[in-house]
Amino acid sequence: MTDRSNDIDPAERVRQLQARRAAAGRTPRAAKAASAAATDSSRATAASTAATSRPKGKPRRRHPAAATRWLLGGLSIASFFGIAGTVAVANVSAIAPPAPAGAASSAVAAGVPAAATPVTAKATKATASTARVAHTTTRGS
Amino acid sequence: MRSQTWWYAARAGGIVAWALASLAVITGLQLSTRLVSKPAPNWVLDVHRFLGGLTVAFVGVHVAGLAADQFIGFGPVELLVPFASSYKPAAVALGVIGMYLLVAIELTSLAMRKMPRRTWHAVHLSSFVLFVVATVHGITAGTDRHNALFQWACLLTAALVLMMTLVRIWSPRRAARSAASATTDAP
Repeated sequence: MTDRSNDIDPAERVRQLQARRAAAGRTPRAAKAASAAATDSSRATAASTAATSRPKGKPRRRHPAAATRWLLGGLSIASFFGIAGTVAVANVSAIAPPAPAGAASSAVAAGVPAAATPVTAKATKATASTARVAHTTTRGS
Repeated sequence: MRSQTWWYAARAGGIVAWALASLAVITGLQLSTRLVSKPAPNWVLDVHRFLGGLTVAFVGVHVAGLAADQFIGFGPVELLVPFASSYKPAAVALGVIGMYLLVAIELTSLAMRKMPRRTWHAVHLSSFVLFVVATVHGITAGTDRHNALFQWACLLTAALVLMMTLVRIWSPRRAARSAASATTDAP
């Protein structure tokens, strides 16, 4: 077999190809185009349906750590409330029960552990009042 | 609402945020060292990211609690400017710096795909600084620093992080990778 393609000049080759295409007819392409145009509308409808509803075959795959996320979130929130509750209970138990009127002034004078108290300007002013001292006592625990 | 509720929220929020940040650092080190082979890396990565987000949320609770508490009297300046607080300025400043570091790490992680990996990695490495700063802040400024449970938790967590960091620095995988990069960088 001999390859004649090299013998023919490019312009002639193009002409031959066009002729062959014409002989083969445009029917297949035309048919494809026509069928594509016909299915376009149905495809658009299908796409809109897919957007609104998930395909029924496979459910969406969950992330492997999805359960751990819930667990961590729950544990964090539980720890938060647990710690806050423990601190509150400890402070409530640390506050001395109401003393008799005579002993009240001495209890206030005995004061609060200063090291555990935030020494802000407001706090310094506040130590004057009994209520503030009671509040400060709770900060120390 | 009782006057001390915000104070309890601030304390609990701070402790939980520190614990979550520590767990995030430990999972990050697990990702880079593969010290334990069992959890799949994608699982660890997802948990690591989630822990980072949770840490930001609880730091928000901590800061909101401090801002809302009437007694301690922290305003925006004390909460956002280091050394502006009259109560233990250095200890509170560590908390403020830690908050900024956390925000930077979280934001760069969210924008990881849109920025150079080298930049992201440089910022992400500051999470070690964040861990140290947050731990020292908790030990020095926290009201619960005298609690034995908290002290033991700090000690054990710091030991674990230190051990994993040393493994990461001296791991053969990392040494091989750095050697390979040195070979490719060489002319």
